[in-house]
Amino acid sequence: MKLPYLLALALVGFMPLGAGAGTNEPPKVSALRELTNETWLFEVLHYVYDWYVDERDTAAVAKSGQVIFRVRELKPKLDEGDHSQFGEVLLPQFSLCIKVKNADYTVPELDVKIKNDEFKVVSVESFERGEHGRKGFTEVRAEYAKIRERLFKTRNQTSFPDDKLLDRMRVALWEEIGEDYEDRHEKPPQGVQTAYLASFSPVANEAWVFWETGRMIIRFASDIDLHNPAVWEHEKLAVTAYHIDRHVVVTLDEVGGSNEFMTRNEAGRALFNCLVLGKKVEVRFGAPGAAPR
Amino acid sequence: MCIGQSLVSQLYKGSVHPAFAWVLCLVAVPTIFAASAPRDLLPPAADTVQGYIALLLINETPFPGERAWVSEEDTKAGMLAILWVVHSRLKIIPPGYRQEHIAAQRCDNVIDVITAGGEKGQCDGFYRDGSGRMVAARRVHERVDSLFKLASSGKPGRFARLLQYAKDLADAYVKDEVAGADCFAQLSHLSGVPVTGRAYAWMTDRAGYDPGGNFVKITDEADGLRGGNRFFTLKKLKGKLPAK
Repeated sequence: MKLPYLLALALVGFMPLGAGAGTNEPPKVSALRELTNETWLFEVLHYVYDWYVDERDTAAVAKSGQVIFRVRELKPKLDEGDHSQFGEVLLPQFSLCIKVKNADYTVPELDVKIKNDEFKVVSVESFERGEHGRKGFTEVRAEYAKIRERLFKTRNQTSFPDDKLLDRMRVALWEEIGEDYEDRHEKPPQGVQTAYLASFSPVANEAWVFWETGRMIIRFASDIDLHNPAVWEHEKLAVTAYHIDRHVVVTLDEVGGSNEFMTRNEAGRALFNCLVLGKKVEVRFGAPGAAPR
Repeated sequence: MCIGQSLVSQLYKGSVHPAFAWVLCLVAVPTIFAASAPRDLLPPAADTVQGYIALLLINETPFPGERAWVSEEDTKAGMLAILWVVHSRLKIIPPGYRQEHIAAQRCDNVIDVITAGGEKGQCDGFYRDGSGRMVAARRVHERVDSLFKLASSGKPGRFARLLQYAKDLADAYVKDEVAGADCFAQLSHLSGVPVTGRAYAWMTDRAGYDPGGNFVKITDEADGLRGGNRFFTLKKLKGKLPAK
């Protein structure tokens, strides 16, 4: 039984596969190899450390002395010509399940080829004990002391967009703010508006902005790399806004079954990441036809 | 009677395996609709019941390029599952529950279900205005208009098919019933918890986004993640919940 399997493996080793076949593109690295890459896993952990993990969550990890990652490739049925790869990273000690995607497909309607150079976080969900078995997962363990030291050293490390991207974000923000006022039948603000942009993660195509004057948290998220102008040409497809006075609740149980609130915990974290660790951005309003500054 | 309905009735009778029904529904329903798609590529009118439902289905699911995008089939499955949630909240209240436990208020029709709770209510951006008219927030219209514009910009592709699917699903619902089987109808246990079956809520697939209360997450193993949304069913009750 093993011989055909080994023969197939040997053939696979010498054959170009997937998107690279018959093209100039290099063959794709095995998804599992990328998903178990320790540098990448650290970035994923750093992302959840910034956005989801609390001090009480680390108790189990500190006790065991190890951070456990369970990783697997997911293979959903995709459209023809879509070579995207999907994966899942479980952090059982934090009860977090992170879905990731390495996009590789074309959208003719947007006239864009969406291709990321590595897996990006698509969603982070909490899970109950017993919801996920170990079957099909590859376990990666990292020494907690080393991770803790690295996280401590990099806890304030930030990465912000270049001027070009920042300008595109200003335009998008400007539109969002203007429309928000129009919706409330109020006169849009004049002059300089202050906003704060959270640091970018290399493993997430998302940007969080806190617009101080309007008390609004705005999230831009896309399958497309945020540096790609296509995201900002179709920014309506990527934006979610939360008014911190109206759309924040202590627990979503208060609004059972409702769709678009955020918890105080989540809002607090977004505010910390935008205001404390983030970058101040100014958007000028008012002059007719003026582009935002 | 549409295929979906007859499958549902067969499911009730226990003569069709739920997995088979779901596969059939995924294959048959899009095929039926694909035959007619795409037709008039105009955004649905928010002042008609079918248009309003179509707006909801389009607004709540990802299109190519958006973060939660997986595939055409996945987004269609998400639309169908959302319509079933809306329908179940209206018509299929499990034993022990009252409608207001699930849909936030008493609802006489599908629009009441969608607009329950106001602008930031059960379906974000869908509400009744001061004069009782059903309206959708500007950003809903803007996104949907953008999608229709993109769908009309060249050779009809996935955008057009998805938009047409949503419109057809909404039209069929208003005329008849949900045009496809409820893939969550037969759920009885999730992670050891007895559940009512059917989905009664959906939420953006993000940590912390849990409707709480008696809602129980439909796990990945039960295909509870569709079209970028996590679906939730309800705990099976032994007695009755007190009135709200």
